[in-house]
Amino acid sequence: MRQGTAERRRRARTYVHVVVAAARREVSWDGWENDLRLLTTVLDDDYVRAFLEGADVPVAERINLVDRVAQPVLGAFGLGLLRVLVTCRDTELIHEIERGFLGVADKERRLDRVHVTTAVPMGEQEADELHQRLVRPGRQLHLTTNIDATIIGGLVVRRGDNLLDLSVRARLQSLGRALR
Amino acid sequence: MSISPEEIADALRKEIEGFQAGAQQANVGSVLEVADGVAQVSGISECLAGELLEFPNNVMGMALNLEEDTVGAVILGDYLQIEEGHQVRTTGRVAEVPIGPELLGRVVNALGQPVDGKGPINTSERDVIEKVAPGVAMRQDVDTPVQTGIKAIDAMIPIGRGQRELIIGDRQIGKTAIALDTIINQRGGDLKCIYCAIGQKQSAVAQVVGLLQEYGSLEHTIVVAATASEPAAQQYIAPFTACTMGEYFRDRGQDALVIFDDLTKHAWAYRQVSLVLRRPPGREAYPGDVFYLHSRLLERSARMHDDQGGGSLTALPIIETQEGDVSTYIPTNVISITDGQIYLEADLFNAGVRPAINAGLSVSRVGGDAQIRAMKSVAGPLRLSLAQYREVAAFAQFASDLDRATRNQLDRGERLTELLKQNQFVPVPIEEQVCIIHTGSSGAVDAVPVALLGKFERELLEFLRAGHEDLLSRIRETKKLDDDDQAELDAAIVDFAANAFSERAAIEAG
Repeated sequence: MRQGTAERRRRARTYVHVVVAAARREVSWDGWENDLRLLTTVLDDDYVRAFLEGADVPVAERINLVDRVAQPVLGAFGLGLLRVLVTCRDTELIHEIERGFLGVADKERRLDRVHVTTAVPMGEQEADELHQRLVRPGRQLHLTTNIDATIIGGLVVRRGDNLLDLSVRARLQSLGRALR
Repeated sequence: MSISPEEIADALRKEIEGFQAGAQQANVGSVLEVADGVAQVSGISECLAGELLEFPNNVMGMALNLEEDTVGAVILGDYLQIEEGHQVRTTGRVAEVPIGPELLGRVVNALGQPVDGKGPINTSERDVIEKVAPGVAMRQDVDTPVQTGIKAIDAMIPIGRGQRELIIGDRQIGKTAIALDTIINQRGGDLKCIYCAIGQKQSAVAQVVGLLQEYGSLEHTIVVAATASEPAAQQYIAPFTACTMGEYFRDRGQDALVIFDDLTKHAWAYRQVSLVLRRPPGREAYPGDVFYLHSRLLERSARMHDDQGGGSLTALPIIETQEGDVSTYIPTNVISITDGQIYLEADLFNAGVRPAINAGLSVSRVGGDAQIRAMKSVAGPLRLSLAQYREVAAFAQFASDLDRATRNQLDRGERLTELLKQNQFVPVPIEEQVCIIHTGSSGAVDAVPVALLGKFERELLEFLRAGHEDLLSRIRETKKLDDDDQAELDAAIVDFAANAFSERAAIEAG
């Protein structure tokens, strides 16, 4: 039975601690990030996950398959993590493990993740300008964008838990509340 | 007068032109899980304890548990509209409710929203529901009485303005009746009342509102209703809401009375919220801070120092016991917090003693100072006589073998107990109470058969109102019963018993 996010997050904590400890020991935050992203993509496939967690296939056979397919692309620790997840039938935790890992890794690497939503696509010059405005001294910036026409105009910037809503939709909502 | 569409458009245009919408900045997170009125939220790393959170669909919540990477929040609305993954925003505000005199005469829910169908309440002020109680330097002694209109209470267990007096007893033996009588007795007075119903049936609340309306007491009362059908979170905050509404009057030099009906159900609601928030359960599965829950609430009742306006907030918390057991967790907690208790007993209730107050176990720790002098002078002998009666009451069945002094004590006690009986919704003015208590404790009714005492009391009061109105008004105004007044009262009682009482033949026949 698929559990709620809170429960998955609780169960994923141990994995996160182990992965963070390994990354810190090897100073390989980027390598682990790549491995986890790859694992997330693979395990997002319901068909693959159903096979890897299937009760009717012996564990040894499933591990064998994982070794054959994943060894060329994953690092030793990434492969080890996948083996444990398959053996313990915990593959559904991969998103929470990645999220927990990135939280710590970003702090260690002094990396800010900023997500910007606009109503229309930004030009290259606008994107560069925005990048320069958002980057903080001594820190790296990882900027992602998406388009959402429902904000009508302006932009919405999210950095971690902080949201700065400069959209036309927010202003109209605010005006609506004031008129009420 | 009609307004043209152009005028409306002009007004709107001005509003829009003058509108300054700044950037909206918020700390956001997402719902991890929601169950039983409680949501676990991830993110919102800058959330404050007790802060209001904004969920989608205009549902608000209150942050209670701040954990390492999640926040536990109680939902103050329809939690069924909230789903996993919904965005949550902090508001920078703590939970607050409307306050002010506009709320008088209205029935509101735990959020201060009207539920009586009388339209919106146009209050201009709001205040937070969780506040620190006034400090020592801001208070003064309790020295003014709250007249309940109930003879047994005003005479033996007097309540002062700013006091916390617990009403405790089993179910259905008149706890709410005492609270309602007290509210009804404030009609035309200066005491504002707040009645807070927690976890009660909607029908019971409707009945209370109907009674208050019938007796003309709703206009000086605010009813805060968090009924059994509402989420536990609303039942949890309801008494704090009521207290905040009462504090409005207290902090403006006025007097207010707040009734929490009842704190047992409030503790149940808090236990439910705490268990769903996964707080460690303690005794009887209540969380460890259930004592603090009630102590911080009741500490907000106070008589303010004259420098602070001299207002007061009196609290009458109600606790329901099971089979008369006051030694369980919540009753012992609240007994230790309050300044006394009015203990109601099922056996007395079943024996026809109404209000079913056990005078031996009931006490008011500060009320004596708040009693008017007239009542203090007549109630002293009453307390003594009743204490002596309780000592010898066990021997009542051996009446024929008892000595004369003991028999006299039994007879006096029986009559005093009978005189203290009172029907519901019939509050007695303080000056009439003084006369009745004096009649009983002076021995003037020792010759009157117990069965005739009710009639004797009714007719005596009519006699005094008709022929001795000046005496009654003197007691009411001076609050004293000096020697001359006492002599006049004694003479009036003798005159009444000898000439005016319709059953005097029965007395003379012995």
